[in-house]
Amino acid sequence: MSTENRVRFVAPAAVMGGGFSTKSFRAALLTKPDFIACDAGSTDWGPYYLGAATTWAGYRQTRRDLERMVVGALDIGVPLLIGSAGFTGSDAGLTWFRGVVEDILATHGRTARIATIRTEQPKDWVLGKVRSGQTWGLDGRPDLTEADVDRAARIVAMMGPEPYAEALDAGAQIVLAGRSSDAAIYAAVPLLRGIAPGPAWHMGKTVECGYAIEEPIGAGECIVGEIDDEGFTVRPVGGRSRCTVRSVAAQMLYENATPYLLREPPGTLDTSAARYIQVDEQTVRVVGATFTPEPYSVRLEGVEQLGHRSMCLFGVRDPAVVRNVGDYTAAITDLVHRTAQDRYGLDRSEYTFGFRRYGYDAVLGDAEPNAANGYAGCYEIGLVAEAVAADQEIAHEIVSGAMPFFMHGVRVPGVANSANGALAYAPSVVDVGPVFNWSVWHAAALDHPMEPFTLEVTDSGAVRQEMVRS
Amino acid sequence: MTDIRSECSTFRTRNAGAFLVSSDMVFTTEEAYLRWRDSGVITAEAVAALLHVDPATVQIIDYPAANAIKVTMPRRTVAGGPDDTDLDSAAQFVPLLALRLP
Repeated sequence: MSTENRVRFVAPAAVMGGGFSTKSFRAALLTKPDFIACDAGSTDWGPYYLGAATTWAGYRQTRRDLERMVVGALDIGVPLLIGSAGFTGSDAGLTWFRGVVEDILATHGRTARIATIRTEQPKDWVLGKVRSGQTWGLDGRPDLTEADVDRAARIVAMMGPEPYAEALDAGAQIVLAGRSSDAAIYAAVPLLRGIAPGPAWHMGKTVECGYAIEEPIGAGECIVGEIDDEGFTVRPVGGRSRCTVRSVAAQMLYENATPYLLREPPGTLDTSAARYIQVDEQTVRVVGATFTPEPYSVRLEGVEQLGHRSMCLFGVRDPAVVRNVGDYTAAITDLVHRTAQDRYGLDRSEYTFGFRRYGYDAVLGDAEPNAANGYAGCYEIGLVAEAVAADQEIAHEIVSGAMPFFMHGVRVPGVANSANGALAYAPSVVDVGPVFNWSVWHAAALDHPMEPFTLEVTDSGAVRQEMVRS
Repeated sequence: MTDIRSECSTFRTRNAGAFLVSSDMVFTTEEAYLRWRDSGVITAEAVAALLHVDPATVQIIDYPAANAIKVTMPRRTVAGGPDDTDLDSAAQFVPLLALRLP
């Protein structure tokens, strides 16, 4: 192993749209990086975004961050790699994200060779993998079935570093990947340059949330560093933030089942022998991680649509209702079920109706410690009544039809009839839109790393540039 | 009796994917980490009792590099599913605040 082969990197942000310090980014560009990379997606905010093929960060928010990265990368002539561009890996999200890049190029009169890597999967391909026994459940999921695939609204596959390498080989200056392993976005260039995989993957995982590894939290200073065959360094640049042994090591804990093992498409990163060394006030060097190759596999993520949701927020303050809130919500639910057939022509299997009891047990459910003392001290409860049904109109109808029950239709045992539900807003019933659920959370073995991914490389900006100039 | 959070710089729960929840207890000092780690207070049984889950599903992982103890288990329900009320498991650490060092 040698430390002569070195690759320098910039991780400007924790997530695209999350913001970062412009002063720090200017300083980062002066460190002569070999590439700039940013993660733009996540599954941590739920199944909706994949189902709806939309993004968490809106246009302005995305453009504000992306503009600095695109212009900065083109100015210094290094590639910009964006993973999970469009947030979830949907084709529509990726196309939208590419449009933001095109707008930026047009505004600045620039041209660039852009690669997009599509990761949304046709059902036939997934079904083929199921039929040939090449899929398995992750995190305790049962085996994937053909029915799961048929039912899914959308399925994506999470790519590794190889498609980035293909895009760079094709001369791409900006690489926009659909759903991508977070660590692969940052590991791709070092791996392509022949850096040992242990340090490359450990660096990728360490910097994928950008400034999350610096102290204090909140300065938003870009992370820069250098990697060789033995290890890597990281530091915030252009300000006073620091990386410490603890702040860097702690990143392996974040949103991970274990800090020691991380399964990636080509194998498993093992950090159990890693050592973290404070090099100077701001800089940490990390050595010792290993990577064991395994048969190539990618994660499949898919969602099914459950229907549409409507909801109503209201409060109960009557001490008798607060004391008997279980009876109160059960009585309303019972009334909804008993009247649904007659009122709406709905069978019990065609909708769900229920409550979340905020200030009581909504957040912790059965694990709520205050259950043991009878919720002593509770004097006000925020109730969310919600219905999910195939159509938005039906869901709306069920919740609005239940409103009279909240207001005055339900008697709590032993208490005079009172109007109890304090409606928070007018309009009181809010239509939330489509509801999705994770239904595919599986791995699929690949014949080769590019198998389900489509790379397109085009030169962009020139046409619009002329239009802007004329 | 020492309150666990008073000795931590980070005390949180987060999703570890859509089907697992993980709690990170990052102690302020190595001394505090070792004292809690060796106390026998943070066990699968103790955590399971506070969170009303099966102890066989609870993994306790020591992570000295960050002076941390990590606890991972299945989520009660899939993240963002129809009956989920904590999308990123951000508040699920609260019952663990009851951990006390004798």
